[in-house]
This record gives sequence, structure tokens and C-alpha cells, in this order.
Amino acid sequence: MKRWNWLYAGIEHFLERPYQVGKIINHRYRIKNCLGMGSYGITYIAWDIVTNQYVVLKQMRKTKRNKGTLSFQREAQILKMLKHPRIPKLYDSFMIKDIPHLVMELISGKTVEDLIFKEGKTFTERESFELLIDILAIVQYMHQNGIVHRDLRIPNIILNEGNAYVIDFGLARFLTESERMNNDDVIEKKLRREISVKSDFYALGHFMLFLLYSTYEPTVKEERSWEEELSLSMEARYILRKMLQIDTPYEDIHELSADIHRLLQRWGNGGVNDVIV
Amino acid sequence: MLRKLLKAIFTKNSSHHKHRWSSSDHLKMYHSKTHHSKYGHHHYQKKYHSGSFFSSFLDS
Repeated sequence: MKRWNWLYAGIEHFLERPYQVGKIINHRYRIKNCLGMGSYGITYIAWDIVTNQYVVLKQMRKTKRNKGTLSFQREAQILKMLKHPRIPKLYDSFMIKDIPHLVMELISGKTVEDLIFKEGKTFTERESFELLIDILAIVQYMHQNGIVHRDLRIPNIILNEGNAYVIDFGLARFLTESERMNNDDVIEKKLRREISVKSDFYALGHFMLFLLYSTYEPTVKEERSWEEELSLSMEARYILRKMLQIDTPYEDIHELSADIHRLLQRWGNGGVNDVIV
Repeated sequence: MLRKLLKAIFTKNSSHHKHRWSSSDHLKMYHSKTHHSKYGHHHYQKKYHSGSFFSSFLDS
């Protein structure tokens, strides 16, 4: 079986070829470029020749026909339901040869991933928590509407003129749903994919560490844990440990926001001095 | 059509698509030996968390 893997991979690769630049989809959307390929979909920037604007076109991967169709239907349902200025709007959805396609609002700006790793942007502790509060306002709206995102990572947060936007709802779920976890899954995957508000806090805990590490310069090659490497205030460490479920996790967003607001107020009142190295 | 299929098979590891398609062995090795609460700069200062790289590892 293993010796044919190269052939299966080749066939899959052939089947999953992205649309070519310039191709017009559904008589309306002209492909400008391919943004990337995720687990279930291929994403493009396209020009809508009816409304004369750029949009994001997401095409389901052909090899994910069964599970993918359900995932696309769910994503469309969730995006239709969520009406928030910092969440992309769903404009259109259609099928081409049984392959679902979604058309969404194009959010301008840069992902936090690109800002850190391509542009070298750095975030201080205070800036990181200020950004987190901004993101939590969007997450709170999602949670209030019974949605958990489950994929809040640095490539899925866009910053534009200081405002955060949340994109890619491909893994989002209704909080009322249940999902069977594989016992062989690594603990991190279980924590990220649990259908609970806690999975969003967990993902945002890691998100925060990417921000906080943007100013870190390693002095030795050997790696220690984030708690040993970063110089964080006691409060920041307390919040992150709860987000990452090392300590008793936050049960709802108000509890988390209250702790962050307390921390920001202290900075506002003259700064945090209790630094732990 | 056949030519395109053969081309796709034999060029599947071209650098253009390698970026998009390969799952990160490094990531798997890294995660197998480091507890998620103990990550440090090796994890948070490496850009391998975008698109299919991380998604393939965490594919649901």
C-alpha cells in the first residue's frame, strides 16, 4: 500500500489543481490569485464583475467531497447568521459540478502572522493585551450567538488600521453540536477542537504567546518553556495559564475580559512592576 | 489530459506546491516530545502555522 502513496498523492494533486488566474467562475467571479489551501478548501481573491469589487472565493477541495460539503454548508450557515463589522459577510454560495463555493467579503489588511514573520512587527505585553481585548469583543459576539470559532490562530486574525478582524470560519461550530474526538489525538488538538468556548480561549492563549515572543531574542539555542523564557507580569502569566488550561480554565468570556481589563487599568494607572523572569 | 496528470504526479514535490502541501515533519516531531504548555521560542518564533502546514497537523 505504502509504495503506491506517491501515486495517490500525485492523483490528489492533479485533482486539486487550483483555478487558473483569469478564469471566470459562475459567469461572475474572475480569479485574481490563489490565497492558499486549507484542509477543506482552496481560497482565492476574485473580481466580482457584477458589483465591481474584490471578493474572497472559497472552493471546496474535490477530494473532501463528503465531509467537506457538510463543512461548507455549516460555514455558510454560520456566516449568514453572524452580522458583525469585524467578521466577513457571506455574499453568495453556489455549486459547480457538486463542488460547493462560497463568496465572502474581502477584508483588507495584514494577518498577524505576516506582520510578525514577514514585517518583523513587535508587540509589547501591553499592546498584546490591548489587541486581545479587541479580538475578544468579536469572540464575545460569536459566543453570544452560540458559535465557537475553533481556529483562532495568527493567520486568521487580520489587522487593519488598528482594528482586528476574525476570518476563516471553516472549523466553526454551533455550541449545541457535539463532535467525537479520536482518543489518539494529541491533547493540543483536543483542546483546540473541543466544542466549547474554552477552545477559543485556549487558541487565543497560544495566539498571545506569538505576539509576546515577537520581542524575545533567544540567548541560547536550547529551548525552555514560555514561562521561563518570557519576562511577563504576574497578572499576564496568571491569565495565560488559565487560557491555556494549565490552571483552572475560564468558563466564560466575561471572566477573562474582567481579568484583562484589571491588568490594563493597572498599566493605565502607572504600570505593572511585578515582573517575573 | 494524461500529460497533465503525469506532470502533476511527477512534479508534486516542486517547490511551489511543497509550501502548500507538505505537512511539517518537524512540527510532528516537535509536538510529540514537547507538552503544549511548555512550548518556547522554537515553537512561537517559527513560521509554520499557516494554512495547510498547521491545519494538516490539526486536521479535524
